[in-house]
Amino acid sequence: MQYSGEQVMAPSGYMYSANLPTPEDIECMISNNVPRLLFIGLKRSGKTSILNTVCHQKSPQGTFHLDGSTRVERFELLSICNITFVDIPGSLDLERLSDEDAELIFGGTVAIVFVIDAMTSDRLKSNSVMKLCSIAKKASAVNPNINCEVLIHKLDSQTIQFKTQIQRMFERHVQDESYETKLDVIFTYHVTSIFNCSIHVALSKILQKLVPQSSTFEALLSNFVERSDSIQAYLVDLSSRLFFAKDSGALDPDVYELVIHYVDLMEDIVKQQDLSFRGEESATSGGGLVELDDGLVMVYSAINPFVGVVNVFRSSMLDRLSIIEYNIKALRATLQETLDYQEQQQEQLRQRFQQRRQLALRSLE
Amino acid sequence: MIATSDKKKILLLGKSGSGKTSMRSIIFSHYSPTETRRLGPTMDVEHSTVRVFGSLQLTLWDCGGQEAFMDSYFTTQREFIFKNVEMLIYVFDMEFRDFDGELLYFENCLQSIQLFSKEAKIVCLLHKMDLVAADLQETVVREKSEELTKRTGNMDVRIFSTSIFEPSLYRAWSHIMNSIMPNIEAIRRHLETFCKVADVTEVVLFERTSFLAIAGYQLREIPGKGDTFDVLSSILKSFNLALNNKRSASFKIVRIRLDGFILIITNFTKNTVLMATTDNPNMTPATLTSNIRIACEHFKKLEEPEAMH
Repeated sequence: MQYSGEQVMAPSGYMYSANLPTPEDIECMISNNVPRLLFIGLKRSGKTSILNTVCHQKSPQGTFHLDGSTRVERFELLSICNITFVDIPGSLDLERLSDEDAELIFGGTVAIVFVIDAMTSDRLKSNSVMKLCSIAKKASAVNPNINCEVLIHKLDSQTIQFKTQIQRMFERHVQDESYETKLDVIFTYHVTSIFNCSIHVALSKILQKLVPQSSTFEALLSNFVERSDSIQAYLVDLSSRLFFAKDSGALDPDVYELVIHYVDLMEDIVKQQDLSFRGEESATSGGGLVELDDGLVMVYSAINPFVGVVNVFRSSMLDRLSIIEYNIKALRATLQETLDYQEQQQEQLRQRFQQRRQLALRSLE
Repeated sequence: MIATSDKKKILLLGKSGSGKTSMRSIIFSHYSPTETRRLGPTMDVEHSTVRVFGSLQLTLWDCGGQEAFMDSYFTTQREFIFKNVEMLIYVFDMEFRDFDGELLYFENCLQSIQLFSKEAKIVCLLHKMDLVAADLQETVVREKSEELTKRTGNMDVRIFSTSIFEPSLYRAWSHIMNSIMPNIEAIRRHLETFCKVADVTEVVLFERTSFLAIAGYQLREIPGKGDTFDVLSSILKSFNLALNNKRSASFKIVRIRLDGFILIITNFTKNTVLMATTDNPNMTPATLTSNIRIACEHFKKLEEPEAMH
């Protein structure tokens, strides 16, 4: 199914009738003061599928039959820090934007998430690279601090060697292209697939660059893991399963995938009981534990209605569970303090902004 | 007497490609619904034995459905196939147009069953329901059920609509297993007692490998909430499948605590998993766990009645 659809689309894949975004499209792409992830890429590269699996919790197989998007869609992630995901169809021409529009779209706290289908023909691959570079050029002209993230997508079950090879190839391509067009932007590469947790890992890393406190969270979690003799700890967003921070140890994708399944399980079971473990104040006191028969334990504890900490440790530590629980309590208190501080700061900023406006008005009088 | 009667023979029949082996692989082996497309057609009859509860063993006769095999089932192998059958499961493929042609085979089966195992229970599965448009499902099920009951007359028949992508599969198979288990009423009674003694709001007992619901009890009927065992089965099954793929492990205990609500799913006796929930604010997870542990000793005796003597 997937491939037959692609062949129909492929000839027009790059030579699309280049539409400029309409004012509504631009309206949809911007938001005041909220960090944004702009999903850009050629047609059929998998942008909408990614958003469906990550934000709407659809099954990856369910995205096979999606039609190509024709208009800009957005998804707002309500969490400790609101983040907007914008799905920009491949048929929109962002390279010929007027300067004002480019400023609106690429200004502020923004990351460009450029999705490349790594399994298509070479011609489309080089078209992808060209489009990536020209958009990066346009964006960096108005916003030099913009994050450019490249998802080398649809590498589902290939070997690690093949994945690295493909990644190197794209890196070289992009380097050559930026040298020719005198582009000075740093690109970050992620190899992803919607059939495992690699897409979640990549998006989490991108997210963390946009969230100012993520390094504080990381330090807290590292401290916690060290003191409680745990393996790993994640600060997980409960609706998208992305993590805002993890301890500073190396990420084990298998463990993270278990964490995702664990959150899925809790959501499904709690839904059966007509309760909810996220989004409501009452969910703040939630907690849970799952023990596997190969000696791994995962403990979940809610921090606020949107995020929770999942702590992974060995079952030999279970007799010291009360110490871990005490540590979690301390961790929760500190995390909440950090979040409150952030809210206060934002409130202050808002007040200062309003005061300044009042002053300006008065001086006009 | 125990040794022979505890092996129950179950016949799985239906046209080739109707999904018999897929169903069996999902319920009794670690297959996810999408993985079943790798399965090839079954040649002749495949036997598999599953131990479900205590000494109860199910022998599944997965009969390949290609016409050559089907014809031999009704001629040369007739007695061999249809003798001593505890239950006949006939799978109808809802995608297949020639329903009347299938009915001929079904009638043949009924005659053979009547001849060789009069006591056999019969279950008809209207399978691949996910391929029928959602608004048509109800009428399709009603029409086909009427057709089927016309043919079965006063035999003991249950009809289920199923799909491997939906919990309905677990509902049907849970019924299949329950109607074969001899001591199901005793288990249900004991669960009820446990509920009342331990002040547990709801308790459900699952079989351990298949996660089919064996029995359940609710202390207070919750209005508007029927039993959701099938959904729970599919949730637990898919979680366990993920654990199995990643670490070849399975879970020992799952505990969830919310404001004034505790839920525990734990390995219970050798072949069962127990889920218990309570909304008693005075209850702690530790009390509930130790209550479950005490009950476990009791249920062990139920599971293996020989041990009692």
